[in-house]
Amino acid sequence: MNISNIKPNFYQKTAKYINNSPKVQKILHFADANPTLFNSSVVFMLATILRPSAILMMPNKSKDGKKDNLYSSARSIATGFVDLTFASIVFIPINKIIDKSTRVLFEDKNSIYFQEKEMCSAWKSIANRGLKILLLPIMAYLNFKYTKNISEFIIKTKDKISNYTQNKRLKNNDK
Amino acid sequence: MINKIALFKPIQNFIKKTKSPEFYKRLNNTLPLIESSFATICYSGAIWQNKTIEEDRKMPLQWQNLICGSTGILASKKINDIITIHQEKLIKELNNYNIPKINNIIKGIKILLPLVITSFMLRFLIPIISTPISTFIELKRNKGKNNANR
Repeated sequence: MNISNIKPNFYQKTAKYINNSPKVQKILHFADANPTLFNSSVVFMLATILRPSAILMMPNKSKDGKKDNLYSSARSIATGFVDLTFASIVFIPINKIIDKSTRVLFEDKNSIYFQEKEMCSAWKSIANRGLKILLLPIMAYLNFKYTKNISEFIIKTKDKISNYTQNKRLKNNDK
Repeated sequence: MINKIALFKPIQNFIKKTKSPEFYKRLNNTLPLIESSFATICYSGAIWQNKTIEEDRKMPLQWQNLICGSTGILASKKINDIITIHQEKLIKELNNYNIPKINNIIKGIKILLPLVITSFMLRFLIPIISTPISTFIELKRNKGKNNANR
């Protein structure tokens, strides 16, 4: 099935679902009110829980393959934490500052932004994107700085879990 | 400080250009590409510079980075186009209902839909698939090297 040929019935059903579900409406309101926070929390969940567990569950017989899986999931966890930290410490506060400054620019008669909503939103979008691009080298460095430590932590946690389940099994067998 | 940057003449000239819808559209298509390419380069540099990861495991990480980066560069525009088509159809349907604060709901959909789909594809599916692929490529490369050494 071609993805662009989804039946119109699908949109009707989805719209009806949104109309009838206050929970979904609440989520959508939250996404609108806090786009950066919403974005980073979704990415955080994906990067720290879903992606690493999916990678770790992948079957791999070779030693190198297992190590690659481990590093890949450790890197994913590091990315999740680094992204969330940067979002809450850097991006969200600077976003607010840019918002405030754009309001000042909107009233500045000597600039191109004066009473120009489109110009202001273009400036906001470019400033936010530019900031992200500027900080990419630091974020990349931090992502890999902690990869090894996190991979060691994963091994320890895995060992603890397997020891715990083994002990539990032994206790059950004794009973 | 931020206002000073915004009022800097070359920046003002650049922002002025965005008044043309064609330029703005092109810019919106180009910026994510620049972002993805630069991120791939930064990650690659960070992998090489890292001293804690074993040397022989750096190459698979580089392959993963390259696969994820190039897929992001090649597929992000297509994914965005598909999302926009479906988003518009859904919003059209939603306008038939009498939902309170419908504008906020629509804005929320415009944030949620691209985020969920793009994140699922580029931050979940592709990195997972790229892990065994990178191991496989490295295995093949090592076999080739060993055969050449014999």
